[in-house]
Amino acid sequence: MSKGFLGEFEQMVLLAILQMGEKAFGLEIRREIEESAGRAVSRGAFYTTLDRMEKKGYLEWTEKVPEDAERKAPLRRFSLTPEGMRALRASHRAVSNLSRGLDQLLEES
Amino acid sequence: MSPLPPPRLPQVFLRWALPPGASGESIKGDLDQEYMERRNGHPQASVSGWYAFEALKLGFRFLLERIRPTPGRVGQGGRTPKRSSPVERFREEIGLSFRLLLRSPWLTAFAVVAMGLGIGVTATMYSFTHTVLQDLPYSESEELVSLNWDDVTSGWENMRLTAGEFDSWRDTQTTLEGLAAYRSTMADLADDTGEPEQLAAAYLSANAFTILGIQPARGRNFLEEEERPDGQGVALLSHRLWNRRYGADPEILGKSIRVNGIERTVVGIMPEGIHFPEWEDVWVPLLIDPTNEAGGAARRFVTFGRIREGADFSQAEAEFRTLAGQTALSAPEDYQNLTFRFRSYRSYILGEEAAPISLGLLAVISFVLLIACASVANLLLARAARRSRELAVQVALGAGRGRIIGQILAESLVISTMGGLLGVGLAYLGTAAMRRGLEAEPIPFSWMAIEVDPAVLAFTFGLVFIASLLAGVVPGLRASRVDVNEVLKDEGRGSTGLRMGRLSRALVISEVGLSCALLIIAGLLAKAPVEWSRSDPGFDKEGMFTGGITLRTTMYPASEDVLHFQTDLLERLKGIPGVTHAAFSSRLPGQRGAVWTFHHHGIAYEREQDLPRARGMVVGPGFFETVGVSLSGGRAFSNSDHSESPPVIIVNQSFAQQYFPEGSPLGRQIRVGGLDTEDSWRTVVGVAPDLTMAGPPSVEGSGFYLPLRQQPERDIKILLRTAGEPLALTPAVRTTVAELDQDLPVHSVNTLAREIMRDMTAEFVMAGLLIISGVAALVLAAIGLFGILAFTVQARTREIGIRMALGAESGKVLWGTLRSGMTQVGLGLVMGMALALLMASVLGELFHQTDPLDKTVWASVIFLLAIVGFLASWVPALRAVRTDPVTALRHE
Repeated sequence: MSKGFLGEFEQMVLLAILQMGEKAFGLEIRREIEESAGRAVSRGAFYTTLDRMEKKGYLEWTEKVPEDAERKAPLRRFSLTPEGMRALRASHRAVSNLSRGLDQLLEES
Repeated sequence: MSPLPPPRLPQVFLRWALPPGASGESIKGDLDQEYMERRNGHPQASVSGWYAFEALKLGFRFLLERIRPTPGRVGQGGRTPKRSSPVERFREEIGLSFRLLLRSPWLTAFAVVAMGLGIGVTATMYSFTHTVLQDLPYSESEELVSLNWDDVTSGWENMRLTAGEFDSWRDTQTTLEGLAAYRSTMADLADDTGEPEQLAAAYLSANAFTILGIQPARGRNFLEEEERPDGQGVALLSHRLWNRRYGADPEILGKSIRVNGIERTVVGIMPEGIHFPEWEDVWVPLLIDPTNEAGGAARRFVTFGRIREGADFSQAEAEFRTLAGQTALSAPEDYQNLTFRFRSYRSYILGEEAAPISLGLLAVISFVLLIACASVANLLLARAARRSRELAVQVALGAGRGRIIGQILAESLVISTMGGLLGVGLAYLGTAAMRRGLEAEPIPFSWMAIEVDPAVLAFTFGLVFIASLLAGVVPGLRASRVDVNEVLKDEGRGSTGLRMGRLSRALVISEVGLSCALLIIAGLLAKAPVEWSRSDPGFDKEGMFTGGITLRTTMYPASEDVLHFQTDLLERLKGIPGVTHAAFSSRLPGQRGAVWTFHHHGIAYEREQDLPRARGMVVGPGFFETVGVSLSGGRAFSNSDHSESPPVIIVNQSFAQQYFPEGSPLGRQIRVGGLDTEDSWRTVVGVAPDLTMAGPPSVEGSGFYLPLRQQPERDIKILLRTAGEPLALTPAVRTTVAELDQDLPVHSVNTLAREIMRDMTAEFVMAGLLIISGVAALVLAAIGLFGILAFTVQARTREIGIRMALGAESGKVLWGTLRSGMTQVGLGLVMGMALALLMASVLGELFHQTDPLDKTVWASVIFLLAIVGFLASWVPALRAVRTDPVTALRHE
């Protein structure tokens, strides 16, 4: 069942999770995106996007006890589901198909 | 150093807003972690603020997410076609309205602020008037009645009963559960625990608390035999005093304290919050002794009772009128000018004018509420009008009337909820501020706590909600009925499409009018107290310490003792470092002096009411020097003006002009007192400048001064002139007094300037309330005007753009918008002035000497409104002119 393409922000979130692997915790994912994208990511938008993609079945999380003694709340480590992987691939393919031969142009900016 | 956790309230909010379970916890945990990281290197306040702000944003985002009808904008399959349940549909509507409202954030913000302000201000004011209008805090307080005499000739009202009247009536009467009496006083409390202090106290008949329906929380009530001269050695304490002075020690029962120097055993503690009749902290038994010559005939007993079950007010009134008639017949001469008055205890204690004043305030407050309603309604009208095209499209696509009205209802509900929350917050802040403002001058009665009344809050909220509903539904109904073709053809000029323009203009006009009237009345009320506080009292009120001491007959039986003590104390006070001058007086300069009758030498007066009257004050040596004025003629009092020397008097300039217009008053003779006065003829030895003696708000008045050493006074004020901070003298003054008498408290310690201001507290509070209401009304009206113009301009963007593109001058466009706004302001002003005129003629008496047509007040209010109105029209007009034709044409 096709669910259409992912939004830009959704792609960024999924990519960041993949990049971070074992270290894909909520707070860290947001920081990774902020660093790579070079702009601030609102907490509200970020966490609601995570929630939404979880509901759509693109990602899942496991609870982890934090090592930092000062933190009492559990950590969530996120990972992509096969469904999420498929969606990311589809979106990515579409983008890369569209950007064929435009590398030079896109690099310039 | 233990690190501070994040602020609590935002945490609570987050827990509520975030999804439940581990995911919510971990999201909050992330923010908490960031907070802890941030704490290093940032000041605590800024980190807490940061946390609160971020928590708010995060929480709201999740709340919005929760009411989103469809999951996500990406990859959604569109709205599900299946029919949803009413609850779900309602949730959908709410979510939809949220998003629609956020699309025009300014309008939403204006509506929310207008609503919040309206609810907040009116609920605050209602809470204030409610404290005055509420029932007395006694069980079935409406059954309590009060017995008084009025003197028809002298104008004295509410005179109390004599011990004789009280004693005979209470045995014969049958319609009351009992007749009780009290007498309020100030009492010096001393014991072995701490410094002596002066407290409000009351002498009570033994049955008083029983009739009120109050039992002591600990110990026992007074017994009947304690009303007799030999049974006086007992006292009851208030819960507050028991806590404060005795640390709530139950062992105080049975212990001995000294009240005005008399040993008394504490027999009971009253329940918390009981300070009958006003703010009393100590109660002692009332001595009821009609045979005592001096005490028996004096009108000292405030008398009240409770109507017996089975009897009613008119029966009781009839019975007491008969009793009063019989008493009057027994001594016709004493009673010839007196009329008996039987009324509710409440109206006696609050005064007859309390109700009309509060009702006046209520009327004013209702103005603000009306304006708030109009403002909210207007903004929603503008909004609905703008959406008429969209609604028409919906109708064209087959949306039913119910659906459209449902949408509008949902919108009103969302705005009302946000405005209501803001209003509740403002109401709590407002009442807290009011309590703070009144701290200096305690409200006259202990039960009058200014608190937000939930019922009042619900009422104001309901009213504004209904207004917003009507404002939504009326255009909604029109839209659902409207000729779809017409509206769709009418490009965006929504307001013309639904013919809402006239209604909203009328609303703006009435808003301006109401706030204009309110501000004029507030200004008229405020003028007298403000002017009075700025007026020159005739002396320097700064740098003056004031306090009071009262010498009791129990400790200082003879006048010589009093004089001796006072002379001794004055010398010691002068020796305090920093004190440049010291003096005693019976009243403070600048405060109301007592009214005395007096006799001119050579005139025979036949009746009491023929005697002339003037304000009088008893002052000690050095008074004028301390106050800082020099006499305009004659000499001041000195130590040689004593009881053995020729009696003297000093009059003020007004007195001299009024009673001795033909020449100098020096050497003329006066004596003070009534027809039967024993005062000897006094020679006028000096003329003083006019110092405020009539009290606020009037500055002038005839008055005279008597020397303390010829007119001994037990209750005196200490006046100390100092170059430094007056209250810094307090410890030294207390020590000095304690050196002479360890049990004598110094009460009412304050600076003279502040003591004088206290007299006008009521006026200031009232004027302040009205000014706050007026300003709130003005803001509301400005919001209304600005909102309506801004949205007219926005709705006409396309039209304006076309006109500008076709070469219309920007001046004309500007003028057009400005004129439409100013016309509404002008009409509003005319209406407001007419209304103010009407109200001023009704409320005239409250303005003191201010002329109801006072030019300054009227001119400044009109000017202020014109300026505000101009600004509210100027900004949208400017926006219209700045419209870029290209954007405007694309605008939809």
